Amino acid sequence: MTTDQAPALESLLSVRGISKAFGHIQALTDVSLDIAPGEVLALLGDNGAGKSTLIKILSGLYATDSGEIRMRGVPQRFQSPADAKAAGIATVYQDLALVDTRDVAANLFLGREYTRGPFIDVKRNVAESRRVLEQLKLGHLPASGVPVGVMSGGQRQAVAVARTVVSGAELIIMDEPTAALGVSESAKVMALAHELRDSGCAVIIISHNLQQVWDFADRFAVLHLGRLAGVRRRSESTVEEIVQLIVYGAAGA
Amino acid sequence: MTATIVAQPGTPPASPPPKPKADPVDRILDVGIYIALAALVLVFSVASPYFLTVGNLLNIGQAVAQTGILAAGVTIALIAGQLDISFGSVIAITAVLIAVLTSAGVPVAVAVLAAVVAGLLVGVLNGVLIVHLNISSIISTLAVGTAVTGGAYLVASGQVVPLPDPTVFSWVNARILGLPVPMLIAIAVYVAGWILLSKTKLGAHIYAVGGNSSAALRAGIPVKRIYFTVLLISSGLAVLAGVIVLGRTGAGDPSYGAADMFTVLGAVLLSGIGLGGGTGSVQRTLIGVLIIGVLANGLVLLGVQSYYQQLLNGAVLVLAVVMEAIRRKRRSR
Repeated sequence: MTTDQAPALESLLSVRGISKAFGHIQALTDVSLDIAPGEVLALLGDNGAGKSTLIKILSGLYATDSGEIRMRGVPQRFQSPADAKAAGIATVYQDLALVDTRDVAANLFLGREYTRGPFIDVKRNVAESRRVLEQLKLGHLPASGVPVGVMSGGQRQAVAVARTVVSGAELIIMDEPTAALGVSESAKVMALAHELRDSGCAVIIISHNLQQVWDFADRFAVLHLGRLAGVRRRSESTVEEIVQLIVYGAAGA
Repeated sequence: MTATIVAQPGTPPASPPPKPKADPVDRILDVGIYIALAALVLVFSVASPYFLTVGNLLNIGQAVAQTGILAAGVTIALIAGQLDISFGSVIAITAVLIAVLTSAGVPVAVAVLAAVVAGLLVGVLNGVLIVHLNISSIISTLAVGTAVTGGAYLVASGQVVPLPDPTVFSWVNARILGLPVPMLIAIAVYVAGWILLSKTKLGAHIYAVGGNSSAALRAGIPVKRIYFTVLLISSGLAVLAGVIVLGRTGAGDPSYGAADMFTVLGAVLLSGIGLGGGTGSVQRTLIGVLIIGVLANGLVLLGVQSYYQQLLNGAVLVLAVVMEAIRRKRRSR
């Protein structure tokens, strides 16, 4: 039932046979998945397919009932979100977790500010923020002086993503990044995913909108009723096939 | 001749991405309080020849010092998202404890230490209710403040307790280089508050916790510790204000602090800080403190009846609240 599994050696993240139940409800059953550095993977599925459960397991919010997670071949046992972060996995949730009243630099270095003694090294925080923004082709965003609360949805999303880069994450999970965005802003967020990929990160984008992610993802992993219905490379698949996987859990049905 | 279109290196792209900017109306509201203060000063200096004299300005400085010290503490706590209204009770318990203990023969240093401990305990109690029992800060500090005020009345047996030796605290009424001591203390508090909030890591975390506590928590900021810290700062500054009142009056009165509620909250709200947390500064609160101080002083100089003063003070507070409402409405577009 698994298709196109990348060899575990090249994998950044390797998930093997994980299952998770909540009481009588089997949310995930025997899901295996790999993602390599420099790859954008779209995780697709209908409501209740298990996308959120899988992501929460990878973010350290839920423990698995069975199965194994490896980062760069090292087995992981996530007890908390901090463990997942330490392993190099950063998740951008839909609420973005930004402090709207503060500027970009304060948000990028939230909780990990450069300091000199008890004092904030503002210059260094701003300079480093500029560097990260430039790296992600977000140089038009002001690093200091403008609260992120006045920025557009796409810009705020970009700030939240940039923060994962500051944290040194290797795998960046974006939870429905375009859910609240218009078409052009969505495209910008997707372009940002490409910047992350080009800098060597792996990106998982959760979406239930295939149209928005089709042009931007390298591979598609489809969940259906808690099982992995299939993994397809874009170059070897079609929109129709992915839709069938999402809706029926099998292609050619 | 054929026109050739060559892409120039460094030419901006056809549609440059929009640069986010602060809202213009927000900016007008931001500078509004400076304009209001300047206008008040202008009006009063035209209306009364005495207003702009050194002597009168020092009077204002002396008069607003106590309000100012309290307002600085309330501001710091409010930036972290906690509205602390227990400051009046801390003033009362501080003044009463020191007066009663020294009357009973306890050494002054021990009495002051007891007052400091009592004041900080109020902060701790506020913190326990707010942080550990998840009760809103207004309710928590109102409840604790009411109880502590009751305690102050008990300790003083409902009486005004004179200091056995008022000279111990007479330094409060002294002047250094011509400047009243309470005013100098207030200036020191504001400089320290400005450095704390805008230059230190703790300050940055205070803003972060007030702006989005769950985001701060997820970023590894010790949110609960920050709440306790700001509540202790607020209580500590109220103890300081209590000692100043004690020195000024030479007695401990359990009704102290009750009258500060309006002026302090008025000054803080006037600064445009809002009740949401994450914004504001002690500099802006200072402008609010000065507006209220100048207004009170100017109206006295003009011989306006105190009933009108209270009416006008109320109007100022309404104005501050309306400005905040406009701001919030625009923000939630």
